[in-house]
Amino acid sequence: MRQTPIYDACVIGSGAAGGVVAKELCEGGAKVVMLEAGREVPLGKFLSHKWPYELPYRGLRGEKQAPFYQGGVSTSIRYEDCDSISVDRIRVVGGRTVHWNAVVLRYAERDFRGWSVDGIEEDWPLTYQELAPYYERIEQMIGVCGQDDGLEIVPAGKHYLPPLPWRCSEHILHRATKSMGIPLISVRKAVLTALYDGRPPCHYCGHCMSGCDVGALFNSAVAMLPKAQRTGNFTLRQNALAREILVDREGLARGVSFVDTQTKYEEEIKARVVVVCCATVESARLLLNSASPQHPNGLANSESVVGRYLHGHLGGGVDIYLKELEGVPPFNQDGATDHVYIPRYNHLAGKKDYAGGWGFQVNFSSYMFPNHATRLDGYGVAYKERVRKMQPGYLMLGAFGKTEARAENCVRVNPHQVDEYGIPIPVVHFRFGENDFALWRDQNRSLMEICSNFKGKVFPDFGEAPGGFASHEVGTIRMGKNPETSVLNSFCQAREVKNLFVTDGSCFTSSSEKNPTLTIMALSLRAADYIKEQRRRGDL
Amino acid sequence: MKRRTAIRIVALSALASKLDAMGAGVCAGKGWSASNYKLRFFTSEENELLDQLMEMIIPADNHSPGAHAAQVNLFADLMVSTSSAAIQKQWREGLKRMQEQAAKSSLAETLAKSAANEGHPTTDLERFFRALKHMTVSGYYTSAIGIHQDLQYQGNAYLTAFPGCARTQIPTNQAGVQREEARQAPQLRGPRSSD
Repeated sequence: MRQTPIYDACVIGSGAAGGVVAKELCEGGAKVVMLEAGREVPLGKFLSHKWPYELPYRGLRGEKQAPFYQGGVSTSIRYEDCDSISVDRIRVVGGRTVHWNAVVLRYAERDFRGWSVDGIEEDWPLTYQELAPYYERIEQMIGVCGQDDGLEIVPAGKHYLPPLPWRCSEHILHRATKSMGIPLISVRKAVLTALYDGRPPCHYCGHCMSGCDVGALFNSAVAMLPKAQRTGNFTLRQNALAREILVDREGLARGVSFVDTQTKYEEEIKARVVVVCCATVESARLLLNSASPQHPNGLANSESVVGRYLHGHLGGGVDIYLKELEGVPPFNQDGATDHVYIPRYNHLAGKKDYAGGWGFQVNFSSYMFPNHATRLDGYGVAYKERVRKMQPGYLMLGAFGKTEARAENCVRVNPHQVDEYGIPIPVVHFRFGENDFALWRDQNRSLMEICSNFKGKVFPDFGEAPGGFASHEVGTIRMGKNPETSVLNSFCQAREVKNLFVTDGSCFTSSSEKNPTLTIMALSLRAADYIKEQRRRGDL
Repeated sequence: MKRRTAIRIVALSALASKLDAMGAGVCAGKGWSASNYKLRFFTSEENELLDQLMEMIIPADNHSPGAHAAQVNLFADLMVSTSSAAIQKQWREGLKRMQEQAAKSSLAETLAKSAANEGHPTTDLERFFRALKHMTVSGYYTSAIGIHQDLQYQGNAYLTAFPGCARTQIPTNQAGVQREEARQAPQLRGPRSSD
């Protein structure tokens, strides 16, 4: 009879977090099995460069991304008693790094110290200084374009690929922000502007959000997993949907039970360490679904903190059609989506009556479709001509604002609401709080103030109330100093289950206005180092 | 309705599932082709009216062909045929209403009347105009004619370098809009090995 192998580690999820952990542990000599609920979609199968008219629904119904969202993942969720938010869950090898804008910003020192700086939330159990070396390493590992702008609010690394050249609209935007004392910098993106680490440079097609067909955009499946594979220590199980983390008599993790979504067979993997990297909603779901006599309330959940403190970014934005560029002969502006970034600036003018701030990502919308066409009144020849003339002047600002981590906002599971495999689905509850509303109002006010510096047509796009989370949800299995309000220590290790780690966005104590992915990867790298060290010492 | 910008990204996953549910029949074939397309929802009378209305919204002019040449009506048929019953009802009734009103005056007058209150539609006819225009815009500017002939979109390409802003692209000689010298980042050594 064949002996079932016991892996040194089982990593659940293959995205930004899982990719880093698996690569690091494999290179450190550990035998790693990775469970990914989705399948591999080779770059050659990406639909990014398809013209809309080559697709039945012209790409308007997410056809380009559909291969990444198989198996009913989009429907197996409920929103109950919820404000206008949605969360993003994907099922594909590479996770959400398969299609993303790849803006990678370090959290600033103050972003780890919410309580000390603003008197809300809690301080993280680690400081910027502690994480900085991991930021540096991860930036070199993935390849980041940009530069050091000397701004404290967006700490810089030492190793950047050349920044993306600015478009005309970005120069015009810079003129406006400069006059207002608002900083604007070259964006830092995990997009290669030169050949790097055996991956080709960007070809400036603007399709980051549909997936990069050459791997110039950081994609865990292209940049991390092959390195794990090369060690000979790596086993990837595709179509493996984790049902439950199994525990031994002492309540330590001993493996994972999962469903093969193709064969529908139930299988078990045995592992000495389990690293959960399924992203904020699914990770909480998995722990809550892993109840046992040793952990009756769900795994690592004796304080009922798992699933709580769900939060993410609040949105808002504006489309501007600059008069200066009106009627200019059409030219190729696609680029690598964002080329510049407006970092947080509201703290520069003293304390506000709310905590936190926002940053603006610029020009991440497509240049192919005239977004103003549905919002310009009229029809006929004159209308058609106007649409055409305005198109080259497109400038778009998208706000990403902080929301407060609050215990009452949560992911729950309910045994009566299950997916097609009988696994309880996540039920999401989220309400924006007072601080969020105050921040959102000021964000919109400031946005319109910036717009008043332009000649052109402005289409505000922030609706009547805040919405979220812009795919940046975090916080459901948080790290912290206080065991009553947090699950993990600063190494992403569960206090109650020492061989259980959670390194995706769910481990965040609080969120800043910055995109979370770089911090997820830096924390994953730090956790992997810690696991390696503990293994060496025989503690895991 | 357009959703908030930052949420646009998030909505993709929900849309993808809709596609799973509804698109299977369409995707199964070898893609979409106008030449062998058979109407799925609209009757041939409705289709003809729709074609006329869409051409009035985005007409052919001396710059480029319009919605008729781009066969936006067929795109509309596919979209509506795979939409909810409520949306299908709106289209069926909307076209009927247009037809009835046009019989009393003219199609041009009826369209003008339906578009009179575009920002804040209050009647069913006005609401239908919004849906009609939205569909026309979505179909036309995603067609080969809309993208290549009308907008003359230059992208979706494989470039070896991105040129950034050339001064000639900004017609007025605006001070400050000069190409800034991008500071060169230090040379990379390549990624660090794991230990």
